[in-house]
Amino acid sequence: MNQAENIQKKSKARLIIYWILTGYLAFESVLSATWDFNWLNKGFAIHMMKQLGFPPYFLIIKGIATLLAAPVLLLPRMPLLKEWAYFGTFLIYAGAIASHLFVGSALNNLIAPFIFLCITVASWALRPASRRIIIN
Amino acid sequence: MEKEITIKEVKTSKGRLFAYWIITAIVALQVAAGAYFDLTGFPAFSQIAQHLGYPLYLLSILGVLRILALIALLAPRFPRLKEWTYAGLFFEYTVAAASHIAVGDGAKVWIMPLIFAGILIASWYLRPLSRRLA
Repeated sequence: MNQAENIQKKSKARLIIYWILTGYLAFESVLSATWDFNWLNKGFAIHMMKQLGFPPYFLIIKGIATLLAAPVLLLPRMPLLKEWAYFGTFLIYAGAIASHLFVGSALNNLIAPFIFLCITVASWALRPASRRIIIN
Repeated sequence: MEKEITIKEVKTSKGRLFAYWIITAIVALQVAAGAYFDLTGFPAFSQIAQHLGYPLYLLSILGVLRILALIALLAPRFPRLKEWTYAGLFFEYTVAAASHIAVGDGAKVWIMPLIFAGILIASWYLRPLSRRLA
């Protein structure tokens, strides 16, 4: 009885953590798009692209991609599509880290993408059964 | 559960499996060639990267990713890893097409990565049960 209650409490805590991380990840996906489109925090994203040697139009592609990923992460079901959205999000943050390392940016540039990379992996690992594909 | 899978496996026709392997071999060849040219600094690839405005170190990153993709694509099982591989390659081809459009290249140029994306989706669609997430 006590153990069953404990398991229930744990799974509830897991679900709450999942939603906090996933909500934040989706929020960041939308917010970063407004930076990429140069609507908010004007000039920052373009400056970053220059630093990494990427073309400024890449921001439009990346912004559209993260805007597509956000609803996929939030909406119910669609476990296969979620797998794609998580991997795309993972590639963006891992790619940002790799690019900063290649151009020799100061290490504090790695902090934000590293935190978001961890949130991506944690949200993926904690996703509940209804949002998960079980391998047969 | 196990019985159900065997029944489904039998249902996967030989023709479909044959088509899967032909198409997947084309994808694998394309990925392998890409990895080789990326990592050996093939001039045509560097020129395309420069033409699109991407840094040359991106080719090193893509080259390593393509080697990983090739292994994941050809190895048996690992259906989730395969799903990520298909996703990664699909993103790469569509971003390549979008980049060519962004710098004002003609349809003859940007249609190529979209054709590759189409071949990739065909391989994904035909993948047999043992290589598929439930």
